[in-house]
Amino acid sequence: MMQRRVLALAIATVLVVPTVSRAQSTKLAHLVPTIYGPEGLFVDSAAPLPDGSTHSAHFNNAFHARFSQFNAALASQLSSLPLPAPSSGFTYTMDATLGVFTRSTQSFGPIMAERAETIGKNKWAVGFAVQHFSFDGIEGIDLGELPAVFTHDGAAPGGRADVVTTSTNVKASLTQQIGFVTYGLGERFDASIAVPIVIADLSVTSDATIQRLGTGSNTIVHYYDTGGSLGSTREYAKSGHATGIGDLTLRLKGQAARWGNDNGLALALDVRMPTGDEEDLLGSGAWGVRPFVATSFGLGAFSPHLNLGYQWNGDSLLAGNVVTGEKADLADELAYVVGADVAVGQRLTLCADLVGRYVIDASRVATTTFVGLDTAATQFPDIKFEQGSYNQSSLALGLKANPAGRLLVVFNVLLKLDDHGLRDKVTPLLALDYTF
Amino acid sequence: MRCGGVPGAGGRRGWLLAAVLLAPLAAQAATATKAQEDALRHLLASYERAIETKDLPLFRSVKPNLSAEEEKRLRKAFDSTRTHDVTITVEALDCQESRCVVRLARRDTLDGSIVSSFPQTLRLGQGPEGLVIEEIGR
Repeated sequence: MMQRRVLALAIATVLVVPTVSRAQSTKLAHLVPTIYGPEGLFVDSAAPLPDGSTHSAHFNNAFHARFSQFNAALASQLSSLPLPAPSSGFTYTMDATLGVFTRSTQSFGPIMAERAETIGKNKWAVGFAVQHFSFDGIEGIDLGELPAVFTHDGAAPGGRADVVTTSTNVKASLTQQIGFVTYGLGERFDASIAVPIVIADLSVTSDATIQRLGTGSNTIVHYYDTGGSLGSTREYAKSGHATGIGDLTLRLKGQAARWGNDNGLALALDVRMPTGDEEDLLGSGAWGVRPFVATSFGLGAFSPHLNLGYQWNGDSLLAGNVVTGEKADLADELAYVVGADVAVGQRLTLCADLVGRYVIDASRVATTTFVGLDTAATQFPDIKFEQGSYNQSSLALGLKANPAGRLLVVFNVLLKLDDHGLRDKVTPLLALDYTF
Repeated sequence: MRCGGVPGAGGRRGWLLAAVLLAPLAAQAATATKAQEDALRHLLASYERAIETKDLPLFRSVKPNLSAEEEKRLRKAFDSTRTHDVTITVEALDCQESRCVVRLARRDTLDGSIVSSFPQTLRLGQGPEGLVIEEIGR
């Protein structure tokens, strides 16, 4: 009877899934590549070509490809978010020669890492966590002022030396509501499932300015029609919102070794299923498998721990081209967490972790300087895209409080330690965890 | 003397249940003495109370051969839980003269939640003050 109630609660916890909704018909992953329209960036022109045909002032040379890559970088970051460890803070070991129980560790365990202890045969733990990301920058570039320079088709000195410079403000936020259930299949073997509900918001505003490096004061060649006058600037804007189920993650963990009272080593496997709609930036769009080891030690109230794993990712639309539908391999990564948790009395545990990922051969964005084809070689800030590996690390600081029974209230903040990849300065997390 | 295989219920449900539990034992075990049954009731109640109240001297009184290492582990166990409720059900009792083996079913509640149900076997002997636990096993 008790187990049925637990199961019902567990199912209710993970299956309260709101219906997918979008404020606009445009999928979020399509917003950036189509910000200037489906055909790219055009400006108006009243200057006929020598053969008398209409001048197509098309500045679609490189930026479509650039923004596709930018979107891939953004989306792959959005899809590889750290999940709080779905494990119980309460684990006990029975001392069979005395008939008493000892808490396996005095602390309630880490927040962003797994420890070697398992929950115990036929035990349940359910939890709910909310974490919010509001991305501030990518590779150290302020997302509020992303520069880009677009050159004319067939750029050359003269009229085709004109460029369009843009300053783009990207506001990307993501809220994950994660329900998780852990069940002890054996004394030393757990299975967990984490079900994230993702709320994604993306708005893109781009201010474009025609820089007449070649045409000078001859504004009829390239201009923006601003209600009858020949303007030089235009603002492009798109936004979207999506809510829905993210990528489900199944975790299997088995304790492989134990020594002393509080020290152990566990082997674990995460399987991430592409259940989230990647075109709405709710999921990665690719299967993911992450084998990892978790080791933890009990030194009285102090419990250091280490997680180390390799995240293999399959092909995803987000790593390819969402516009053409071409899939590509989502970058694999080495994931690690090292830190410690400290029991402060019987009802409070403080946690600190270094959370890192070494992303292998991913699309990266970097700043560069564009040099114009005019005689003055005018310079503008620009961005470029390249392939490369990088290490991204964050500091996680948090606490677990036990107000009553087996209830744990968890609070954590993730603080960025570098500018690599897509970053949020501070990512808060609030969670509840209950063990039956 | 053999007085085993009799299901029953006892522990925290009180001595009334314990009496009901042990009454059939006495009926079936011709050689089991009333004194042994009383001593067993007293021993199990003390063992249970020692765990629940985290009373180390009481625990030592029911298991006098407690080693220094066991005492250290016991202290750690007592310190690591806030509450520990124990329900003991006697499954079987085998007695040979002054020595007995009692098989128990334990249902323990730690820190307010049910943690585990498990079997337990106690080997009992006669101490200067009466029946004592010599060995605890699964």
